Amino acid sequence: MMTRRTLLFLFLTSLLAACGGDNGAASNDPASWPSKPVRLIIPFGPGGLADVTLRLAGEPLGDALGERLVMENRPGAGGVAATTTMLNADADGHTLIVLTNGTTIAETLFDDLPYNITAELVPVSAVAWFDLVLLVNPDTGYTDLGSLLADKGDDLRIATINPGSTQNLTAELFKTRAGVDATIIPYRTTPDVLGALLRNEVDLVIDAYTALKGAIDNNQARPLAVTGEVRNPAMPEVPTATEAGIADFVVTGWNALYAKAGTSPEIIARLNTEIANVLATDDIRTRFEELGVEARANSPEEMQQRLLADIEKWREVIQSAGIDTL
Amino acid sequence: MTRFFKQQLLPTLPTLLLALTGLAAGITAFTYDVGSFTDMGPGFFPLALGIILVLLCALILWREPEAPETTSSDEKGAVHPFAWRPFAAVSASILAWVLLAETAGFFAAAICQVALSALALPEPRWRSIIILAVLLATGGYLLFVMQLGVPLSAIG
Amino acid sequence: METLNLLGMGFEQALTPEALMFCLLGVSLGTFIGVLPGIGSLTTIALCLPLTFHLEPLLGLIMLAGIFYGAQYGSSTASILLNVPGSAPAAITCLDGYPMSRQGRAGIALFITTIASFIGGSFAILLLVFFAPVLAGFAISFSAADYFSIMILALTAASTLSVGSPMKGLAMVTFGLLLGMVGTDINSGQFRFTFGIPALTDGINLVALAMGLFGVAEILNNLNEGKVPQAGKEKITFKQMMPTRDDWKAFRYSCMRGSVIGSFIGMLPGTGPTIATFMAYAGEKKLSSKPEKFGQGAVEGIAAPEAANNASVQAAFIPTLTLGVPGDAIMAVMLGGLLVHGITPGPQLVTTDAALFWGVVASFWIGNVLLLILNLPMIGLWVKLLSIPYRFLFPAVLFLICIGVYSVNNNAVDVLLTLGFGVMGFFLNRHGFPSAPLLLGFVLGPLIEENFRRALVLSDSNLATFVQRPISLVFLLLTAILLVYSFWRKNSTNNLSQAQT
Repeated sequence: MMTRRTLLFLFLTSLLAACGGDNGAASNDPASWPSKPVRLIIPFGPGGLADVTLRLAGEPLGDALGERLVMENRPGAGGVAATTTMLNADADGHTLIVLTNGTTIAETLFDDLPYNITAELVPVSAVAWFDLVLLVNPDTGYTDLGSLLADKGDDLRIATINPGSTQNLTAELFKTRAGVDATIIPYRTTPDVLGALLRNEVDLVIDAYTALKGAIDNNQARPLAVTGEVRNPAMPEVPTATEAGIADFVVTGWNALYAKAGTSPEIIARLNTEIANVLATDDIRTRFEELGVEARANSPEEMQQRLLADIEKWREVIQSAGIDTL
Repeated sequence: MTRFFKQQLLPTLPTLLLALTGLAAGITAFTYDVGSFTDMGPGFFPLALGIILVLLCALILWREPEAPETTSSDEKGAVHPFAWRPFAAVSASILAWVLLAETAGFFAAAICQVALSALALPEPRWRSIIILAVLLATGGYLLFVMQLGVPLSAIG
Repeated sequence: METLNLLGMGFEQALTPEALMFCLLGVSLGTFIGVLPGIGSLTTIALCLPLTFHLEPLLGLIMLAGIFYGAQYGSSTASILLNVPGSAPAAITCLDGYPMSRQGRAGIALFITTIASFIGGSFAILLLVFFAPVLAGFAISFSAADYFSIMILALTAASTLSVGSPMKGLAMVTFGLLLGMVGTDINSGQFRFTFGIPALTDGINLVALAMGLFGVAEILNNLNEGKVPQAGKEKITFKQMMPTRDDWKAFRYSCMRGSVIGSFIGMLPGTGPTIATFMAYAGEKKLSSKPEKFGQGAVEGIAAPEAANNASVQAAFIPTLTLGVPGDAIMAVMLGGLLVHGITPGPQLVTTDAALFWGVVASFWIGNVLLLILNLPMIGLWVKLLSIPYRFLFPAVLFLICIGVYSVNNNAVDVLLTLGFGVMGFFLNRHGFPSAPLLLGFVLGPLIEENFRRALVLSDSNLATFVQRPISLVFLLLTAILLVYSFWRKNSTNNLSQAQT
């Protein structure tokens, strides 16, 4: 029989543990910030682009702030797990979250999110920018987007990763802007997409540059256009989609750091400066470039504008494509 | 009446529940776009599977009448009567872990989980269990949280 | 010849003290993680990935790869000793490994699985070394229709997994297929069976399902029975670990077959070791002259799956390293690790960064040898584990399952699911519904549906595509032959038994 003593002991331990709390709540005093390691919540698993870029930038950033940056992976559809974890933390600048343009898509894709991103999170700065690429199989001989579209027209087959992803929605947008009733075939992962291209199952592939950089360098896939506003410095001879003749078709993905609403503006300002400094260093710029990503900070206001604009943009695309929402 | 329930009806419960699951799945699947065989929508496959499951369960109920639960403890086939205590203890222990891990921290969750699971056996040896709990919690913390970086705090 | 020269260079790279150290570190960690139920190699590799950013690419890759294939050595340990799989693919080893353990042959079982793992891994490495480009090209040519037909063949394997009522086994397969539908439909983006729960939009977590169905259910069952499994308390001598001559005979060919099946499945992107182990087991049972011995401790029942396990895991490197197309999710994470160093795997990697490629390949073999040396002496230790009183063992296993499942996604909902599946599995098992077919159905379901629909899209809704594509045709024929064969066999044994009565 369990003694009353042991029962009491268990009870007290749990009580203590529950009250133990946050190792002494850190104050929201900007002068003493940061006073302990800063958590960075990443809504993806390790090894992905967001994870890798943030880890690379996180180190020098931690050095500059005087406290380590601790990465915390909380993957899960729509970034819900990550955002929920984020909002459970205090607004003292010791917990940050990475938002991506995927977050703006999730705003429409998930009808009842238990939180309001635009109200409960405030921007700190953008960190990385990347565009998508339109690729064909080199064996097919196409060298420009125009001739591909002229040849294939509505028979065009485009491979992307899963519906609801930036890549897939970009393909939907492409259909509208290019005026072709192409068939979009979704695959699970970028390697599957590449496989489809190698097998000539599809004519065109739309995916992030980073994901297919290897294939491009190996000459397994030929880029016909990039979706950014300006040409990608890693592939200066590849035109933008606009230059290639598709009007009003610009898609740029981004990663940005956000804090919880209520965080002191001084902390945010300091973070913003430090991030801008880190991203301006040659080391980070080069390493990001190797990944096919542009390191560029911006101001919180600019970032928020971008967030809101993207939410609108993708809402339109999702609704006109008739994609289901949760 | 209760004997009928216990001996005849209760053993068929899993099959019935399975059939019910198939039915529910099929009905839900119907609300998705079903499409046709050569142009399947998201609802086609689940609907087909739901129907198959219901049919299989019906076949099972028809062809294989369930033997009532026996109380003998021989090797094959016989099923031990259901005992509440171990079931409740194990369930409670995992639930405790789920509830405590992120809110009260790694150690509280681990200790409560081990302690509750010990209740599964009739005469728990509390001293050894507590020692085991502390050992597991410490070792687990060192390996999973410190070394591998699982984001759980030690306390709170 | 050229390859051997390159291989020699690779060994030079892999035999440096640092490389050996990281290899040892990787495989040890991998084995340890593999033994622990719940946490698997994907999680561990993902968690160790950041550590490799500061290492030379070769060393980092050697370590991560070591964790990957090392885990496959360890995962059968818990399956054999406790009937609780260390990872989802190891669930199959429970079927015959655990009975062997109950017969007092735990040491032999562990010995056999270790050797089988080594042979399976080595076989795949040989393929990698000599045939990688050819095989990679072959593997990548598999289109949706081909995958579909292979999965259908794999599905027929399900019928071999049920001990007892075939209809109940079939019902479990169907239920598993249904569970696989939970999540987001890949072809349309439609959320299915998610009931507004965001945690389900990515589908049910395989680890949660496997640990619940096999781990928690097993514990619930043991506790319910009241008589807890206890092994003998003698020390295991080396001699006791040695299989009998009959064992070796059974072992030989099943191991080879498992290696071949495992390598084949492993090199196809998008499949995984779970499918490989199930198919290897099914293959053995179908080809065996005495299928009834499976489930009672048949040597073939553990040798083939274990060989397939390791073969598939090594073979997954074939498309990854030569084409830059990861063989599975774990490979993708490792590729991420390479990208950080600015290295892009692909056809040119073999030539431009030959040192890296061959260094890694050589380290695979070294790693497997290390694992052999590491694991064999540990067998005695593991068997000793059985002598721990169950009253302390099962809370520890539950503990490991909880934290292990949690660590996959850092999501407590997964652990809740584990409990749910454990309870469900417990009740279903009591009434003659086996768990293994459910796991197989769960893994295969999404693949079958996705590839069927995609094949039709690619062929413009032309059903003939499944027989027009040669690979697909071959597998469909194999499936048909297998079905006919089993049917004929069943009938002839029926006739035989009828003639005898």
